[in-house]
Amino acid sequence: MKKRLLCISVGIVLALTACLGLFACDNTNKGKNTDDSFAMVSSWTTSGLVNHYNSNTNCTAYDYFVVEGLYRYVRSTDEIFAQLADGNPVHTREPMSSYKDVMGQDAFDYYAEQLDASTPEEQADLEVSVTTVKIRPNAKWQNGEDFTAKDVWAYYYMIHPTSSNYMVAVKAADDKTVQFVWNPLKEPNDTVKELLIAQDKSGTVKYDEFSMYVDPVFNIVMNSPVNRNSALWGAFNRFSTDEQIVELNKTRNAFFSYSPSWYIATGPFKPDVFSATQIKLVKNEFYWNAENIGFKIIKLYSSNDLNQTYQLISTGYVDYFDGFIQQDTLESMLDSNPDLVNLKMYDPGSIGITFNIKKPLLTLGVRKAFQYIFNREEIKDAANPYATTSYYPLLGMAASEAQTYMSEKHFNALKKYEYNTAKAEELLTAEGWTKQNDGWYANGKKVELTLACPSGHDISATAGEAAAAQLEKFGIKINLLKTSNFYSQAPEENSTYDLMLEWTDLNMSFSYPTGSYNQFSSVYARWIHVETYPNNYYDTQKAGSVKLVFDGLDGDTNKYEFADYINSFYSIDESELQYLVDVFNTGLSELCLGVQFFQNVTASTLNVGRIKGVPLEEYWSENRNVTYVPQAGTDDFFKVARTNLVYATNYMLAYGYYQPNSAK
Amino acid sequence: MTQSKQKFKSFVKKAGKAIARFFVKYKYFFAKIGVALITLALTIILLFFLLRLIPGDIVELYALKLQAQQGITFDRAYELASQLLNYDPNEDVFSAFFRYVGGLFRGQLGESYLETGVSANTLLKTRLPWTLFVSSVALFISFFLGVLIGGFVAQRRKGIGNKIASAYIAVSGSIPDYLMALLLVIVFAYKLNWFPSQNNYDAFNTTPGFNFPFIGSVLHHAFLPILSYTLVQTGNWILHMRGSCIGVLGEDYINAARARGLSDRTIRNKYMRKNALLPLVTMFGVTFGALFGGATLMESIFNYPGIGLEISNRIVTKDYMVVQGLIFFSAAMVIVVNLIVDLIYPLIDPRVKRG
Amino acid sequence: MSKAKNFFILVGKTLREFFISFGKTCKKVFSNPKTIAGFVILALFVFIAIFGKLIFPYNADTDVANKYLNPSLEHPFGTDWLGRDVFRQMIAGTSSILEIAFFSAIFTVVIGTVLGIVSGFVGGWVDKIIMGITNIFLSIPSFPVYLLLAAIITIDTPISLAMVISIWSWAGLCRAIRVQVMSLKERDFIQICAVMRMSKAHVIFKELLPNVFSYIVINFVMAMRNAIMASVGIMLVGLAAYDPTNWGAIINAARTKGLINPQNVAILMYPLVAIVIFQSAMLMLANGLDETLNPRLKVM
Repeated sequence: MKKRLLCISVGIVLALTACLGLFACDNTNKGKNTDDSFAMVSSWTTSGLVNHYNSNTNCTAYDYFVVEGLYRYVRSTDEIFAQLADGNPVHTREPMSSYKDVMGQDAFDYYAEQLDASTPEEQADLEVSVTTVKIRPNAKWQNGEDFTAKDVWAYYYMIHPTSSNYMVAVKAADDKTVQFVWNPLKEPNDTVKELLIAQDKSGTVKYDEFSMYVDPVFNIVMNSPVNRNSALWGAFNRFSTDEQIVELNKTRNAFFSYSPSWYIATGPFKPDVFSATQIKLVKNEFYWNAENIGFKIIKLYSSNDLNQTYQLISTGYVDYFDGFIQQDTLESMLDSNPDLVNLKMYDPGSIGITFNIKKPLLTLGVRKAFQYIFNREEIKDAANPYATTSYYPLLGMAASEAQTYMSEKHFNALKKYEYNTAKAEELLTAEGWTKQNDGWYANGKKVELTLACPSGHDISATAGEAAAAQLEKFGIKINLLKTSNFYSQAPEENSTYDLMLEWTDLNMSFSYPTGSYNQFSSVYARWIHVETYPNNYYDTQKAGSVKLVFDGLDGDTNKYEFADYINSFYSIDESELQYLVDVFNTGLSELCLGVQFFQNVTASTLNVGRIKGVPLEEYWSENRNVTYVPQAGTDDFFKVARTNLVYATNYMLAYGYYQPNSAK
Repeated sequence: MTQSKQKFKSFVKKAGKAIARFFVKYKYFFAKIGVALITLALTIILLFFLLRLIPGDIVELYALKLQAQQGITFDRAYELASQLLNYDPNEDVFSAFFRYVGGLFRGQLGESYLETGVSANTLLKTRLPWTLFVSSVALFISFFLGVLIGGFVAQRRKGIGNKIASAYIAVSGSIPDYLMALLLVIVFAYKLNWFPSQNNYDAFNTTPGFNFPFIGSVLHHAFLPILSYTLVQTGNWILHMRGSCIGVLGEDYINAARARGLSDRTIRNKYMRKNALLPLVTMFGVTFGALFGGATLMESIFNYPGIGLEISNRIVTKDYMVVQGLIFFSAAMVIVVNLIVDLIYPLIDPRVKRG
Repeated sequence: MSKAKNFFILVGKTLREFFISFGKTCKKVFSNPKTIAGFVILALFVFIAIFGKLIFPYNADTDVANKYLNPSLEHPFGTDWLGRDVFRQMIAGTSSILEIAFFSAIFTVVIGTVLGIVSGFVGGWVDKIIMGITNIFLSIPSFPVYLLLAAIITIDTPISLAMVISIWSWAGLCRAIRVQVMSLKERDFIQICAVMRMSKAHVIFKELLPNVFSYIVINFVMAMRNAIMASVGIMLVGLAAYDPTNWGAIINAARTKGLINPQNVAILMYPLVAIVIFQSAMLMLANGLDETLNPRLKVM
C-alpha cells in the first residue's frame, strides 16, 4: 500500500514539473519579431566549438555570420561585395624592384631571368601587377582591437589559400593597406584576381594571437627554394624541401589545434551560448556597421530530419531556410503559415546520370543510345518542377554556364538529344543488343543494371525512381539502390554501380569555368572511372589527373589535353579561354559520359512577418510561391541570389538590408 | 633459523592452498568473467577490422563536406582536409590497432580524427547521461507497468482487461518504435503544441545548473521521448509477464493454494509474481545492457543528443577511433550487465545449477 | 498373395488413423474463435500475395501529371509522388513482405531455439562457446556490417534478405531460451526422465519444447515485425535494391518527403495499418494455438 502511494506521488511530482517547464520556456516565438532575432537551421558536429578558424567549427552558419574576409563573392552570380575592405580593389602595374624585399632576392632573380632581364637597367624596367586593397578604418576584431593589414599578411602566409598560388608576395604597406603582388609568369586576369581574393576568409588569423606560429611559417616559406618548373603551382611559387615540409606541418598542426580563449573572428555576430543542438550568436558591437544591424541575436537550431526542419519553419521558430523543397510539401507549408515566402534561384549545376565506363556493357554506342531513352521533361517534373530541362549530355558545366563561356557558334552546334525510344532501340541493336519479350539481352544474358543515388538528397532520389521506372518501361531491368553510402562507394575501383544519379556538372565556387572542370576532374570523373595518370607519374603536373585529349575545332589539327590546361585556366586571356571551353565542352559532349536531365533551381524560404527587406516584394505579395526564376544578368538575378545565405553569406545582414520586423 | 624457515614454508603452503581453494570454490565466477573478457577482446578485434573494410576515404568525405560548406574547389578542400584531420593515411592497420589497444589500457577509448580535443571519453561524458536518463526512466516505468498489468491480466483471462491488453499489445507490437514516436510528435508537438518536438533543453532561455527553469525545461523536453519509449516497450513486458504468469499459474502449488482458499490477490502477490518474474529478469538485463548503445532512430526523431545518434553519424563520416571506442563501451556494458545477470540469477532462482 | 494384402490393409489402417486424428486435432484447434479469426485474416493475406497481382496488376510507370491524387474509385488509396497507384503498390508488395517476414522469423526462431536448447541442456564448454558467440552478436551493431556488405554484394531475393536480417535477431532469443531450459532442467519431471532413462530426444521434444513453446510463438510474431522494419534499413544502406512496393519502403519514403503534407501522412498510414492488421492476426492465431495445444493454459 505504502509502495503504491509512493509511486503515485512520485509520478505526480514528475508530471507537475514537466508542466511547469511549459511556463518556464518561451515558446511564443511566432508572429512578429519580438526579440530582434534571426533564426535558422544549421548543422555542426561537435561537443565543443572552441577552435578558431574553420578547422573545428564545421558549423555552416559560422561561415555566414561570424567569419569574414576582405571581400566575398556571391556564388552563381559572381557579384563581389566588400566585407572588411574599403572600396574596390585597385589593380596597377608597379616596378618589380620595389617589391624585391617582400618577394625575396632569390625570387626576384628568378623572375628577372625568366623575363630576359639581365642588366640592372632592364631589371629596373620590369613590372609586376599589384592589387591594392584598403581596409575599413573602423574594421575591428570581435574583441575590439583594430583589424590591420598585418593580420591579412598573417592569413596568407599561414593558410596558403588557392590565390597564393598566383602571388609572389603579400605586403602590409601600412596598417590599413594590403598589397598583393602577382606572379608575372602566371598572372590571372583582373576579374579572376578579384574572385580569387574574394574566396579567402582573411579575417581569421589575428597576428598578435598567433605570432608564435605565423612567424616560423613565414620564415620557412621565405627560405624555401623558388620553384623553377613553370608547369607546377604552389603557394608563393616556393616549394619546401623535405625537412622544411616536416617542420611546416608540425607548426601548422600546432596552429590548427591551438584553442585561443575567444573565437577569433571579425563578423557581425559572435558566439555566445553553445549546446549540442542549439547555438546562440549575439551582435558584435564593434562591427563597422553595428548601428545599421537591427538583429540582436541569431538562433541556430540543429535538425536531423526534414520533418523537424519543416515544422520549425511553419511554426515560426525558424525564419530562413535555403534549399529545395518538394512542390507539394512546399505548398502545404505555405498554406500552414501565411508569413512564409519562397524565392527561387539558379543552381550552377545539373542533375543527371553518370555512366561507369569501366563496365563492359556501357560502350560509347550504348551511352549514345541511352541519351534517347529518357523523357527528361518528366523526370524534371517529378524531381523539381521549377527546374529547366536540359537535353545535353554531360558537358563539363551546366548549360547556362556553357552558354556564357562558349562562343555562340559552338554552343549552338552542341548536340541535343530528344526523347526518341525508336532511335534508342536502333542504336542499341547496332551495338549487338537484342530485344526479346521480357526485355533487352546483350551477349546472351539479360541486361541488368544497377542505378545508385544518394538517399539523403531528395532531388536525386526522386529523379532516380523516375529514371529507373523509365528504363524498366524501356525493357532494361534496373536494381535501384538508394543508399546513404553513395559518396564512398561510387569512386571505388570495383564499384558495383553501373549508373549513378546525382550531379553531372556542378560548380562549387565562382562560375569561371575552372570550378566546373575541377569538380568534374576531381569528383565525377572518378565515379565515371575515366582513365587517370597514376599518382607517381613523372610529370607532376599531370599526376593524378584525368587522361582526356580533345581535338581542335574548325580545322585546327592540334590536340588539347585536359590536364595541361586545367590548372592554368586562370591565367589565359578571354579569347583563348572561349576557344578552349569550346574544345573541351564539345569533346566531352561527344564522349557521352553522362546524361543531363535538368539544370537545378534552388530556393530560399523566408518569413516576411519577422524579417523586413526581403526583395522581389512585387512578386511574393501576389503569390508567396514565387516561381519566377530571374534570367542571368538581370537585376532580379542578383537580388534573389543574395537572399540565399549559402551563396551570399552575410550580405543582407551585414549591410542592413534585412531588418527585424518588430512593427505591431 | 631453521624454525623460522620452516614456519615460513608452512605459511606459504597454507596460503597457496587457501588461494587454490578460493579459485576452485569460485571457479564458476572466474570462468564466467574469463569468458566475458575473451568475448570482449574478440568483439574489439572483429569490430576494428570490420570498420576499416568499409569503403570510403575519410579525407575525401571530409573534403566533400568542406567544399559544400565553403564554396571552394574540391582540390583545395582535399588539401585543407588532409591538413585539418588528425589522420595519417599512411599508418597501416596493425600499428593503428596496437596503438588503439595501448590507449584502451590507459583508459582512453579513442581520439577523433575529425576534431581536436574530442574523444570517445568526452563524448560519453556529455552524451551518455542524456541517453541513459530517457531510456532508463522509460525502461523502469514500462517494466513496472508491464509486470503489474501482465500479472493482473493473467489471472482474469476472460475479463475485459485481457481483451484491452491484447489489443494494445497487438497494435503497439506492430508499429515500429520510431513511427510511434513520430505519431506522438505529430499529435502533441506539431498540432497541439503542448510539448516541444525536439531537443533536450532550451539553451536559448535557460542555463544548465541546478536551477528550476533548467530542470523544468529538461523534464518538459524529455516527456515525449520517455512517453514514446514507454508506450512501445510496455506492450512487450505485458506480453511476456502474462505468458510467464500463465505458465506459473498452471503449477500444482497454485492449485493447492487455491484449494486452501487463498484469495486471488494473495496468490498473485505471494506466489505468482516472484516465480513469473524470473525469465523476465534476464530480459530486463539484456534490455538494460542494450541501452548503452543508444537508440538511433528515436534520438534522430527527437533530435535528442544521445549516444546512438553520435555513433551512427560518426560511422558515416568514418571517424573510426571514436566509433570504435563508443561501440566498445556499449559492448562492454552489454557484456558486463549480462555477466551480472548470469551471476545473480542462480541466487534468485535456486533451481538453476551453477555451471 | 495374402502377405501383400495384409501389407495394404496395414497401410490403409495407418492412413485412416492418421486422417482421423488429424481431423480431430483440426476440430479442436478450430474450435477457438481467436484461432479462426487469425487464420482467416492470414489466409486472406496469403491469397492477396499469390493472386493479388493478377486481379490488380501493378503498373510501375511514373505518371507525374497525376501525382498526389485523392482517393477515388480508380485509385482507392490515391496516388503517390510519382503518380503511381498506392493500392496496387501495396498489393504487389504483399508477397515480398510476407516472404521476408516469415522467413526471417523462421530463421531467427529456429537458430535461436536450437542453440538455446543445446546450450541450456548440454551445458559445459558447449554452453560457454555458444554464449560467447551470442554475446558477440549482441554487441556488434548491425549498421556497419550492413555498410560493409553493401560494398560487396547486392541482395535480390527476399529469402537472402531474410537471412541477413535474422543474423542479428537470434541472439536475444537464444539467451532467453537457454535460461528457461536451465531452469526447467532442474524441475522434477525432467529429473524423473533421467531416472527413467528416457532418451535425450524424448526429453527435448516432448518435455522441454512444449514448455517454451508459447514463448517461441510470441517471439516468432515479434520477429516478423522487426524483419519488416529491418528490411527498410537494409534498403537505405544500399544493400538491397530499393523496392517501391515494399510496405516499409513506402512508409519510409512518405516520412522523408515531409509529413507536413497531409497526403504523405495518408500514404504512410495505409501500409502501417496493413502491418498492424497482419501482426494482430498473427498474434491472435498464436494465442489461439497456444490455448488449445498447451495443456497448462486450460482456462480457469
